[in-house]
Amino acid sequence: MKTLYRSILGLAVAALFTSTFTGCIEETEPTSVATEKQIAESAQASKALLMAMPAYFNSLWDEDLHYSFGYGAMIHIREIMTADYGNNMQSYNHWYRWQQGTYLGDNWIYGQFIWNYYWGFVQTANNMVGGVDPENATEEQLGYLGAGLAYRAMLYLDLARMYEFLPNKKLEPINKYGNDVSGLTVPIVKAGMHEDSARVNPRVTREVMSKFIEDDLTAAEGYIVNLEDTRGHVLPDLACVYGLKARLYMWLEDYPNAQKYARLAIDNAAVDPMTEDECLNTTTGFNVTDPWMWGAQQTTEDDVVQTGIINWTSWSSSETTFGYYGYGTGLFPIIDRHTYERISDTDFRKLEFKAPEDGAVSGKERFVNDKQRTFDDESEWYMPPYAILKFRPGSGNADDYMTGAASAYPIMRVEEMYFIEAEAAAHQNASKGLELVSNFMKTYRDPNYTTKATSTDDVVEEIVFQKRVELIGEGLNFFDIKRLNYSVTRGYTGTNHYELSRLNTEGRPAWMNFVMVQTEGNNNSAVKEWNNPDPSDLYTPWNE
Amino acid sequence: MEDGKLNPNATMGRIHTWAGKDYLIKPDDWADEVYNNSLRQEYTVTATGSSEKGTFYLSASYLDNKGITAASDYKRFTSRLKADYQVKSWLKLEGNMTYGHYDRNYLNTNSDGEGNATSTGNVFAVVNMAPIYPMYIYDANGNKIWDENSRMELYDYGDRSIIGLYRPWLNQSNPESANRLDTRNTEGHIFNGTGTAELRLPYGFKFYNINNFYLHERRYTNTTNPFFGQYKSSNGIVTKEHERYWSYNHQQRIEWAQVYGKHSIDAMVAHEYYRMYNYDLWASKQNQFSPYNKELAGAVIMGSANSSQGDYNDEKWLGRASYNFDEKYFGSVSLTREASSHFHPDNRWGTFWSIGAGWLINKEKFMSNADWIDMLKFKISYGENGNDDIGAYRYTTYYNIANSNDNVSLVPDSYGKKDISWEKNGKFNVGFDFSFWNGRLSGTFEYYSNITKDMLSWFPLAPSFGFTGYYANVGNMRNNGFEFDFHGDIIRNRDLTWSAYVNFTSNNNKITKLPDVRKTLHVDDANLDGYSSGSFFYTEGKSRYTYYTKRYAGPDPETGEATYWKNVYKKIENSDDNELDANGNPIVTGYEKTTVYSEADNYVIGDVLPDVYGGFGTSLEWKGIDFSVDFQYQFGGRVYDSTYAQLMNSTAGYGIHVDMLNAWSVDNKNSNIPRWQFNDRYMASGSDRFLVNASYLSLQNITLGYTFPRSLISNIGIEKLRLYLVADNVWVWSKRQGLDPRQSITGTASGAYYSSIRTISFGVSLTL
Repeated sequence: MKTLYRSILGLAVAALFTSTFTGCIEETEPTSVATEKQIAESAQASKALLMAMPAYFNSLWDEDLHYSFGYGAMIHIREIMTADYGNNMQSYNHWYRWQQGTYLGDNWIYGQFIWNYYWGFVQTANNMVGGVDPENATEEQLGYLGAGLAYRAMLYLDLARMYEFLPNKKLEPINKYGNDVSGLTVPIVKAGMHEDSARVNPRVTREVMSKFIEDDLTAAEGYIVNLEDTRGHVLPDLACVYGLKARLYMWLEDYPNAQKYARLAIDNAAVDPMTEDECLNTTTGFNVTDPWMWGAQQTTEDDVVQTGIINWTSWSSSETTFGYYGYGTGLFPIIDRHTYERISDTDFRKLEFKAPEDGAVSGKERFVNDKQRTFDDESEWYMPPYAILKFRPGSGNADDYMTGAASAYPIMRVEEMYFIEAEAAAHQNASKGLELVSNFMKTYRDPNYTTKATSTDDVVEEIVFQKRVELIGEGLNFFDIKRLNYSVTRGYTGTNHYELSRLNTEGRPAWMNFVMVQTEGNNNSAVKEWNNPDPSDLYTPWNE
Repeated sequence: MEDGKLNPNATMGRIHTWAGKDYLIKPDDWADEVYNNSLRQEYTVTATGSSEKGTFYLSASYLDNKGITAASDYKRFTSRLKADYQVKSWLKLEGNMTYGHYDRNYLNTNSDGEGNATSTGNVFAVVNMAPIYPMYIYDANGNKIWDENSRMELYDYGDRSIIGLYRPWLNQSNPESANRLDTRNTEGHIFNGTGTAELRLPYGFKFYNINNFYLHERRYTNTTNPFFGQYKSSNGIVTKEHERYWSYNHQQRIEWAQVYGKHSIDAMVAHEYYRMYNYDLWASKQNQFSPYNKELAGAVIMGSANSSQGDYNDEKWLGRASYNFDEKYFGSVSLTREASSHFHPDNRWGTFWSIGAGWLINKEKFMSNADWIDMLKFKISYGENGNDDIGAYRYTTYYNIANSNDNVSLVPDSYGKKDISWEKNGKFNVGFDFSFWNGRLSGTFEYYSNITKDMLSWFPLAPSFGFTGYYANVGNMRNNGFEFDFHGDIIRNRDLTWSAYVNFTSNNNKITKLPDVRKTLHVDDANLDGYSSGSFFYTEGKSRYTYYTKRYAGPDPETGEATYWKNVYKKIENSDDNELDANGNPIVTGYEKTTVYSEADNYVIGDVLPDVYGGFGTSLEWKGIDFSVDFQYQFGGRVYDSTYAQLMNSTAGYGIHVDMLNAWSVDNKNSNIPRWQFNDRYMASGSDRFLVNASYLSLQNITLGYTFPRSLISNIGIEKLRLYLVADNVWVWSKRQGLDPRQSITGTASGAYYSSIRTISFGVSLTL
């Protein structure tokens, strides 16, 4: 009996312990990320997918790579591949590989950064496009769909033009597998594509790609009218869709359409060309989206701003005491000396750069910090002549990156449309093109504008020159140089480029044909043997 | 001087004038300045007691290690209280609690937490510094300059400030100065407590209830100084972070044991539940009043702030039964069902079992004459357990919640696969334990085979898909080999005992199954299918750590440029196209050299894991003196000597290894080192040239001690007094001095990591 009572007592005590301290496996929910289940339950989901696209402009890819700050980095890469935009030395110059045409092959992180970044961005656009069913959507959602299609078109247009292999003097289009890659762009990945299809997804030709982009833009024209708020111009509107079509048709050398859509973009744009004060203002010069059709905006809370040095302002403004370009490192972005000297002295854009001591407009530039006018190269405030002042730090604050790096950079400006219109017209009729560019220049840039160009080639060259001055630092000149087979000349007597970057090309540089990263070919068998050949190390620096 | 030699009477350096002042520029030995000797102290007190009904144990210990560089030090207090008491004849309670507190300062690392050889913040990257740069700023007389603001000597940041000179490498930084001025501190408390109740029930049953609680709170303080470097214009940045880890584990267990004559049986059924929460809170501000005020209140501009919480739980049901006959034959079997919250509800349960048997051979009648055998046991077993350590929420796609011009946005972060589940590890062992000649020789000898099924691993996708890959149960892998372990007393008599030991493990790793859909890369010359990730190639039949990179072919004999191997393919007759075999793959007929690095092919180089590793040592005890030496060794294996590769390259500002003096030149065409040429990108690029033998011998420990004889000390109430001298991490011999293959068995070693610290201690141990 005692045994029985003791057993009951024992079991009771055991049961007591058991009921207090046991548990069954439970679902957990994350807080630092959002799962698909949480998104499906959220009313904000659609809008949040929409805003993911402008957010991706500023995504920090790898905090140990101080050049990997998002779309602004892509712009900078395209800029330093030209002659107009350069640097004064190699120290701290994290971009030197793209600038000197080296390490551009398929097995380096430099190529991987570009490829992976762009496709991550395309994915956000595809998520938006795939997230709206046009049959069952509200008007607001159709507006989002339009924005998604516009973003996707913009990205594919960039990718296609960067990776398309165009002929050049140094490299044949035959890769190491013996394949001819002429005319091939990039694979097309659409919303909802299955990962197995992505494994056998070939590079498409220029014809297929341009049709795909054109279809996206035509559809976007219909939907984007429903988008009421561009949230400070970070989302595209109808004018931007027309602008993308203008860029598309220029690429295809379809000049009548390019001219037509450029004019439509100008007429529908909510903005006018920037005034002299807007361009040169030390607080708001090229760092706010208000005067642009489409821009990328950074806020203090963005990771790229919080790092202080891995962001657009760090790598664009000459006047900052924080960041890479500017005081402290002694590394500055410079405009090519020949380009600068060709700008007319009455063109106010010449003041976007620091004039040489004996220059015609020296002393007339506006500086955030006047100490940087000095030509004493032993002074800590020294800024070399030809340094680019165009991009001012946020709110004109050159010292505190929380404010100074919270700036914006342009994606599309209405001025670009004027130049597209003029150039497209010039290809059809030189004098018409001349008339358009002269009107623009006299009205908005230089009342004393004149040019001696009369033939088609000369007029086109003059228009593109003025476009290059207008859009320097914005990542667009690359496309014109590649398209028109212009040369890059950084080595000449009196050059202001640093020694190792003084490369001269005959016609378009081989390095303007980007190479896909190896991991794409490893995991996408249709592309493995169809990569562009490696353009690294084909040019040697010019010597006097 | 005229004959090309340096003037021995000259002072090293030159005078440089900047902004009106004169400075002496002379080189410093950076590595020498960075390392210092320091003091390590450790004090421990232990008390134990026992009675019929219970036992008691208390200990407290304090450690203070100043570290071998500035700003890497560690202070720690730990304590333990353990007690058990038989409250009633059928109820025993036990408590075991530890409490610890630590405070440490640590060095700058990259986002992976490791030393980055190119990071401007890593003080060990100075191993690459060219021997021409000054670390300090010297006045015209060669004296260091005291800076009032930072309260220490002025260091050269190589950023043109003060002396107007740039340094092409580690510019705008000086990691040694930064370590002294910046703060990276963690301070925390750890509490771990277990309460156990043991109930003795009738009929041989016992019930256990074991409850464990763990709490770890830590606070980070991170400041950057306002005086020098990339962040100087922010006038000081302070970041504070607080993390809390809190977990509990409850186990309820019923055991039953019974003896029937020579048969002995016991069985167990248990249920266990574990939950872990982690909390994180951090914020940063800048523009400090004073760098010595390391709180957010001391700074005025708000930076950023964030908080997050994580949650994990795990549940287990297990049962085990074991049996022995006459203490001679042993057997046991067990079964476990386990669920983890890391997997989707549909896929979260896994089943694992084990079985084992043993045979004490020395107890058999036919062994009764062999009395030189104390113990000889044969054992064989197979057991499984599960691994879920892949991070949370891999079973679903998830997005980052990001600021998009002050709007909420969802940016894709990770790709999920619903069917991800447990990785199973199955270990098979068979072997002998033995002890001969009264313990004069003892040890074990074993063969093991560990099979991992459904390996959880990263699987890459084409980046054009958007996501670059995901975690999945990728394949099966096997590790097998032999292990033996011998201890012997070579001499054993009243005064002197001399013993030695050796152990040895051989390991062979092989991927035994890779699903076809994962075979996305074909290596032409080896005719293998698999996939590549990083520097490794994964294929069936080869080690998981199979190195895959370019093959170095020596310098071109005429130009001295580095050459690499590439495949020569069989072509279709009269055509430039490759002929394909039955599987559609091109056929490699030979190899040729190329100086174009990007055209060279990648080859399967081989397994980087070691063939054999282990340790050996000896110890001596004579009349109160004890002495021991311990070694560890490894044969085989390969390691990528990245520091040497960097020093054999031409990078502005980097040092150059002396081996470069033997580089190819017109007079020295037989060298294996390519000619030195500034701006040659591919002189020392990644290839098997720097994949060197990872064998090493390490002298781990030397101990010398003296125990006072009892007769001397017992009358002052001391039970035992021992003095000792210990040296740890004394020396390592490897293929190249400076290469430490112990840092990683999977292929990379770098001088940029915090190296093992050699410590020589003197100590006293007193028992009352």
